[in-house]
Amino acid sequence: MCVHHHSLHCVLPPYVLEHLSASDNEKIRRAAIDALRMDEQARTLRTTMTMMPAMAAIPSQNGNKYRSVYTLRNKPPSPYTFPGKLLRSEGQGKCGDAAADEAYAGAGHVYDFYLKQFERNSLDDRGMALISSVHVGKKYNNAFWNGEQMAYGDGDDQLFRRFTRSLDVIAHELTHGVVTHTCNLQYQDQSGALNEHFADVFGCLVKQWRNTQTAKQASWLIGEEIMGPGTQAKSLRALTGDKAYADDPLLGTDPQPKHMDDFVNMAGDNGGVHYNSGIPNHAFYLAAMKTGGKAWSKMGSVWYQTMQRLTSTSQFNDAAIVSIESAGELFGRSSAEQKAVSSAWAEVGISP
Amino acid sequence: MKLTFIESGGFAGRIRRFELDTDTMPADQAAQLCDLVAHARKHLTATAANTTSRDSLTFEWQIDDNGCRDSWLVGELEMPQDAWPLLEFCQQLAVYT
Repeated sequence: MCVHHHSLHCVLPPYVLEHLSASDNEKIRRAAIDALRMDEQARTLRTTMTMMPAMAAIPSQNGNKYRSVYTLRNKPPSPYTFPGKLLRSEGQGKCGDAAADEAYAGAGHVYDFYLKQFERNSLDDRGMALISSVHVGKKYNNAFWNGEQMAYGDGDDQLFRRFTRSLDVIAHELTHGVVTHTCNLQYQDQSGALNEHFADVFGCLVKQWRNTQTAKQASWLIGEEIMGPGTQAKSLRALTGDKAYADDPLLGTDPQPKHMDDFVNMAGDNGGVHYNSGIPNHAFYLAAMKTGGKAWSKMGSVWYQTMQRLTSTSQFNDAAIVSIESAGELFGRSSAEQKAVSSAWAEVGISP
Repeated sequence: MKLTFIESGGFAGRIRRFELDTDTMPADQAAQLCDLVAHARKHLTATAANTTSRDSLTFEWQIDDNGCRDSWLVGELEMPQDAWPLLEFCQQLAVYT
């Protein structure tokens, strides 16, 4: 087989590549993953990676924190353009590109958070490299996780500013990677909304941890630093009971529900994964406020354990059951913490 | 030709869309759009939605060209390069719902 990087002409059956992707040899592992990436049957590849996310993890050089940041030089995001031109890799000083330096620093904070709080070594708990591409697209109002790496747009400087400005955005995207390597929630309907929920929750918690904020001191807003001058919205989402924005000339009104009575049934957005995440988001906020203190330590621990115990098809009710059980295990049966989690879910209309 | 474009997903998770009828557009703009659609039609498949990415955008087109109907649902990471011009045209017109 071909072992050099980005070989275009390796044609090996999936079962061989699967075996090779688990090799102890980093080069072989990487080559197997690269070969899969070049597979012209893109749907087969995606299906395989969905079922076996470990195949998409690029191992770090030394098994722990390893960051690399690339620039896509404003090319459209696609498998043909990622990751781009290398700007900065682990241990190197600032490169002077604000987006790249923010992506580098933010990925480091997220890595440190998961390691120090939960003893988790990167997204896959195996030292997976943290790869970021900045300057994705032209005036691109988005950031995403593609299954292997992060991608950040610069925004149009009207609605959004560059997406690396917000640590919660960076932590949100990286947490999608953690979800992929834990419960791997299917990105559709309620399970997909839970996927978004965990990304938002840990996006908030990383920011609070970094700023040493208690639950009562935190804003519980997502994306404050990326909102542009063309909108009156102060954030993209809010875990509180308030709308993040209303009657905005560009965005309209925040559509997220905060209670199951307002659950949105829709086809778009993979069944409203960014809409209905508002319901479990609010439940977490309520639980964190009821228990007070450092949310990343208390309710964060409960939710981290929950994230590991759910399955790919878990629904909101399952998340409630598991988080209530987890709170009991971590803080005691009938503890104030467990009661807080139970009542928080009840307040958003979920009483398992 | 009647065209509906819907952009959904993304980090913001908001939906943007527009609908138009080329019969109501200036002739040169209508011709440009028809050319873009004709070119993209050769490369877009009915459904090419990404299953591994999170917060990437998804684009949907519904076209009724004098009874000849096409429907495409494409993840941005699956967008064929030849369809990018059509996408850029549509994204400039789409507004949040």
